Amino acid sequence: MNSMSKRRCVILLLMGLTACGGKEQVSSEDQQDAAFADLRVAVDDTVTDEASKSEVMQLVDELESDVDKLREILVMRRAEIRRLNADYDVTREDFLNFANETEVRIQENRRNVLAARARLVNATTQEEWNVLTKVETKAMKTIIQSHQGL
Amino acid sequence: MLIALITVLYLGGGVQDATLDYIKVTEGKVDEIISEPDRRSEIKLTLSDMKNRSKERADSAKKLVKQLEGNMSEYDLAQEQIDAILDEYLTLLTDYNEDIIDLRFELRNQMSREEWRAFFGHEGQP
Repeated sequence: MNSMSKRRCVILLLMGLTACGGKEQVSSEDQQDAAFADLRVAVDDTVTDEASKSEVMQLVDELESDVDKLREILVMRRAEIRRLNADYDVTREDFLNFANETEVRIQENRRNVLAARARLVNATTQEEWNVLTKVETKAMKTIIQSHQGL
Repeated sequence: MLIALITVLYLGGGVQDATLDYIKVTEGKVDEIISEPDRRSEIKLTLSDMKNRSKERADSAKKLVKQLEGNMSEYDLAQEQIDAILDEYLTLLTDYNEDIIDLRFELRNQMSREEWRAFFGHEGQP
């Protein structure tokens, strides 16, 4: 068993133990670790050329960093909207200015992710790309849903 | 799933709408905080408008996300298609933001300062 597979097993074990504990929830950090571990295993299994594999693994790291940045923005957005809403005297412009400022921050992430996607395509063959785009696991689904819900 | 991840990162999250949670929690407090039946009805109507607008926006956004995922999964990506969907998505988002902010102020105008505080006074607890 390679180190990635071992790490994946530990994460799954932790998730399983937490689930058995009843009300305790798996933390978003654990979910994210599991989702990206899934993706790294899939890359390891799919991309055959070693240089390409290394490049794709680096891009997965970058995507994970983009996920962190986006989560930070979305959590901040949610808290700030609640703070603004609670203020009886807040103006319409305060809301719109905040929405615009947030969108500017998201744009940077948008540029990064599109560039990462282009580099992923360049580092893989069409067959490898087709396999990687179809990787589907529970952990990845959960992390995507958690970002959609923020 | 990789494509779904790239798509949610690209759009900036938020395809589902936290506003629906906000409405649900607020609706649950109306009968407790507002005593006059007529004003209760007005407030519930505004919340219902917010709910309908949020659902309409979520349905439209889901369709665009599907389209975008289809394009993102193509090995040879046509940038123009991505740009067109993003433009449509941002227009949808801007229109929605403006409508929901208008409805928020309609709701605010239906309540006194004290009532507003009773609903939303604790930051993070709508």
